[in-house]
Amino acid sequence: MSVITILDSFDKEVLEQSYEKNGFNHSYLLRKKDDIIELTKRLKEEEYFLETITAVDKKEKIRLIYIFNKMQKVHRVAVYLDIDYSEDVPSLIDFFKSADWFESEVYDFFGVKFTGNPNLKRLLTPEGMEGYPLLKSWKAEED
Amino acid sequence: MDTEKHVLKDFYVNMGPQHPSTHGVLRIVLKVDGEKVMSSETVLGYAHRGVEKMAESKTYIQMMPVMDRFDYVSSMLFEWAYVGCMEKALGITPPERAEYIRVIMAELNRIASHLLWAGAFLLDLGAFTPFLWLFDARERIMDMFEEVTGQRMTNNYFKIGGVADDLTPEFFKMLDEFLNMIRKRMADTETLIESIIFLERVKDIGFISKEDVINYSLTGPVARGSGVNYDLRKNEPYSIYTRFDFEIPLGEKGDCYDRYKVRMREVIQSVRIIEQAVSAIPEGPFAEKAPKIVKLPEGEYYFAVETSRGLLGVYLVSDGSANPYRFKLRDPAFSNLSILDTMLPGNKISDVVAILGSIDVVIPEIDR
Repeated sequence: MSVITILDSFDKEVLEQSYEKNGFNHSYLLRKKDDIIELTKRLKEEEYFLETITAVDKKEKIRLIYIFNKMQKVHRVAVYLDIDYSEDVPSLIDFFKSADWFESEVYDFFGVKFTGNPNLKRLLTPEGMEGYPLLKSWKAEED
Repeated sequence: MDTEKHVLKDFYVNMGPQHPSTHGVLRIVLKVDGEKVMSSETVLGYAHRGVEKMAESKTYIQMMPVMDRFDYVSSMLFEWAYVGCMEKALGITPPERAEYIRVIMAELNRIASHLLWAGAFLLDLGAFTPFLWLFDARERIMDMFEEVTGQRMTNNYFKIGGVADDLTPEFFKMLDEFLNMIRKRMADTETLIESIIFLERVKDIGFISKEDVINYSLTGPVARGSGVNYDLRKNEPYSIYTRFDFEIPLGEKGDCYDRYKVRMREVIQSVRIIEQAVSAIPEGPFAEKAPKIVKLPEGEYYFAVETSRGLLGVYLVSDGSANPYRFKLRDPAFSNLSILDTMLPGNKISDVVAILGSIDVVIPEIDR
C-alpha cells in the first residue's frame, strides 16, 4: 500500500514539496493532532521507521515535524502538526522506542508535552534551566 | 543472626562523566547487584553548547566551521551534509572534479574514524598494540589532510559549489603510499586482534535484533551489524556514489563482534571506492562560483549523508534572510545511543565498556 492510499482517510493538507527540491518525497499537514497515532501505526505496518521528530517556532504556533523513512528504498515522508504553545501532543512511544529521546529533545527545547511518554525529561540542557531555548521569545544572555 | 541487615540494596555506580571508556563526557548511572548490571540510565548534556540556537544568529557561512565540531573524528562528512543541504536549496551542482575530491576525502575520513574507533575500542578492552598499529595508519591520513586542507582535524574544507582547494601532486603520492600499505595493515592487525581473549570479551554480548533496529531508529554500522542492509550510499545515493563498485558488509547475529567486524570490513570497502575514484578523477575546476552572501530561498530543506556512524540529516528552515530560521541536526549517534539502557541490564560491568564501545558514540555530536 502506498503512502498516498494510507493518507487518503486522514483530514490533511498536502504541501508542495518534492524530493529534488526539499528532500521530502511527501509532505502532509495533519489537521487533527490525534491522527498522528493512527498514521504512525499504519506507516509502521508498511515498514517505515521514524527518522526524527523536531519542531519549528512559527511565532504564533509551533509546527511539529515527524519524518518517516523507508530503509529498503528512500521514501521520506514529512508529517506536520500545528499546535499552540501550551498544547499537549500524543506520544509515539508505543510504536517507536526512539520517540522517547526525540520527544524529550523537543520538550527540552520547545516545551511541548507529549502525553503518554513516561520518561519525558530535559535531555540536553543543564540542570536548573529555565524556559525553552529554541522558542523565538527566548533570548540568550549577553556576555 | 539477622542477615537481611547486611544485604546491600540499590547500589549505584556512576560511570562517567569523566571515565576513560566513555570517550567524552557521557554519564551512565548503573544500578548493580555485585558485578551484574540491573538497570541503567544514560545522562546526556555535559557537552551541550546550544548550537541549534546559536545557528539562528549566525549566517549560513559562519556555521560552516561549526559543522566540524560535532563529530570531530569524521568532520568532513558533517560538512558534506550541511553543504549538500544548502546546494539543494540554491540549486548549485558542484563540478565533476569536486565530486570526486569530496568522495576521496569523505572516504578517507570514514577510514580515519573507523581506525580511531577500533584502536580506542581495543584499548578499552586492554589491548595496547593494535592501537599503535592503527594509529600509525590513521596518522598518514591526518598528514594527507594537512597537506590539502592545512588542518589535521576540523578541516573546514567543503564549500558551497565544491571544495576549498585542489588536491596537490604531493597528496596523490601520499595517498598512493597509504593505499599500498592499508590492506596489509588491516589484515595484520586483525590477526593480531582476534585472539581468544578478545573474542571472549565481544562475542555473544550486546545483542541488537532487527526489530530493535527499526524500533530505535538505528543506522550505520550498528544497524548493519544486525544484518539490516541500510547504507545511504546505496539506498539513497547522493553525489556520485552510484558510479562505484563496493559492497555493504553485514553482520549476522548483531553482537559486539559483528559490529566490530562490519567496521573493519568497511575500511576495505572505502579503500576500494578511493582506488576507483583516484583512477577516474577528471581534470577541471574544483569549485563552482558560489554567492558570497548566502541567502536560501524561503522554505525547508533536508539533506542526508552516510557518516561513519550512520544517517546524518541536516534540516534547514529559511525565511529568506541571511540567517537560518531553524537549524536541526538529525545525528546518528543520538539514536544509536538511545538503545543502550535496554542493552545493559543483565551484563557485567566490564561488558558495559565493550557494549558502549561497540556502539561508537562521539559525545559532542549527541549533545550539540
